[in-house]
Amino acid sequence: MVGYLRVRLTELQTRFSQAIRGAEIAEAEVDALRGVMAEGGVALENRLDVYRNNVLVGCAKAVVGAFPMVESLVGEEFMRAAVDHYVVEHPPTELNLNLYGSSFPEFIGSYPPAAEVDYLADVACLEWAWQEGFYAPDEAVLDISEIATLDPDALANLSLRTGSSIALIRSAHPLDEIVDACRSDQDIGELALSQRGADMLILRQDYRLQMHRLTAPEYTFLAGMMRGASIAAVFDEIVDLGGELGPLMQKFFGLGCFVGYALMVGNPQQEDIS
Amino acid sequence: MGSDSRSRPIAGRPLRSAGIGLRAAHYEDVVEQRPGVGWLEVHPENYFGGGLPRRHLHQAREHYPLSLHAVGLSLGSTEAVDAAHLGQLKELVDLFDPFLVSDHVSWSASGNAHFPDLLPLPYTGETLERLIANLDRVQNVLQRQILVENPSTYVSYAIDEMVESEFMNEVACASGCGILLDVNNVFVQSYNHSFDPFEYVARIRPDLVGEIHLAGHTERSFDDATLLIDTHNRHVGPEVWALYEFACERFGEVPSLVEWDSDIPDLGVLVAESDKAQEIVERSLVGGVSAGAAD
Repeated sequence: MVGYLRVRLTELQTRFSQAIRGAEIAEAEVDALRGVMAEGGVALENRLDVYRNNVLVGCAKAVVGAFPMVESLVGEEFMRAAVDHYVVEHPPTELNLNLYGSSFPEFIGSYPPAAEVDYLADVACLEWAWQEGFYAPDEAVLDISEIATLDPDALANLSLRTGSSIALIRSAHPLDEIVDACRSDQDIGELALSQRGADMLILRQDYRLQMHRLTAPEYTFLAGMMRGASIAAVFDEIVDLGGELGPLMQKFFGLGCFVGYALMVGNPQQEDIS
Repeated sequence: MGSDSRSRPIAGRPLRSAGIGLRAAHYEDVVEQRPGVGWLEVHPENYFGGGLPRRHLHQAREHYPLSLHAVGLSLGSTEAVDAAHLGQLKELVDLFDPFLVSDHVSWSASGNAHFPDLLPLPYTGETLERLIANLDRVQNVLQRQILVENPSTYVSYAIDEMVESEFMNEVACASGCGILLDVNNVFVQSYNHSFDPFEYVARIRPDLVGEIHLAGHTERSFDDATLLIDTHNRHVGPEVWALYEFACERFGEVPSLVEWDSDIPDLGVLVAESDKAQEIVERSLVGGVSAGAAD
């Protein structure tokens, strides 16, 4: 008896989910719920539509709120239509709505009506990194003095662990110029954007989020640390790109990018850190 | 575990009954102006992780008792409560020492589908069993009693085995949790499902009520009839104030909260609503019966 009833609540919740998860109420599912739900006054489909609408509006609000620059680039109406499609095609799989929207950059990158705005997906990536950085856990920052006492020979084997608010975005578009235009409310169509890419760093320092454009050696260094490489493993590439290790490390320690370190064992060229 | 938790002295318990929901728009105003409200309530999900929201909450907590009102445990799902979500709630409970922790008699997850809404449950023995199992887990992990709130619903179930007020009493008695009675939700429900809201409140066992919620609602018309929608976007309506007064006479001095979640007004407007609630509580204590006073 209990087993039968248990199946019934599960089935009811599945049917309810299916009835309200689309762009419109699913009539077949509503019909399946008749008899289970009371009827009278406002029609059952209209009653269930209140839930469908609440969910859609709640999800859309969360996504629009996370991508203000994308919205300013495409306009409110276009954004609303894109987000409505996104919400129906990619409903939340997490309970925390603040972290809903992680696949929106990919979605907007392949959303046919936005095809001509080729930098949109990269701007969305930047904004998602911003969103994640905003909610990233608080961490104690590693001070440069904590590695100053290490044996100089050991420094080559050092791998610095980056904070959880840190993200790198490598774009073929001048994201820094696009961000400036969005922030100053300029019409992007009237700007002559530079024909270059941009490597962007997002990080949170003292509770405030920041965005920096990095040089190629800076990007190489930080990307290496993020994947757990040792300094020795990225050193040659940094030098080839014209970078100098000392100033690079000073800069990133100054920004509070690191929260820990590991000393790689054995051949430092092998990235065997886990 | 209910009686253990209630008899334990709770740090940061409010001296004044009426509080307000703290929303991001008011972070700075609350800390700078320090309005004379009794306590603050937040949705813990907005403070998962770290950063600025949590810093603001620490600042507010220095001046006010705090209640954590969760929206994401999905206590009525047939699946178990999400361990990661519960773990993050536990972290906040340990950090902020709230005097109340609550969630809803509703569900918002089914399989992989998650809905940012409080979906309605049928009031059956099976639902009761699911809720009790999930509440046991939550209260064991948090090591404290929580409260569960009656929802606003727009559909009701023909398969119900009991009325909602009775169901709320059953959930609380069987799990040791308390009841967060949202009188706006009772009113919205009574309109949408045609019952007497005063009779509902009268059926709730006074000793189980640990908190009362107040909020505004909106009427929405369809071709055939109208529904009330729990929108939290305006002043508390006169019918809801009347129901609140009735509840205060019955339950005594219970922490009461005014919620306002969209079209958020200036802090002063929200504080004035909370002051109105405080006046009603105090009036009921002078003139009425304080049958449910917890302490």
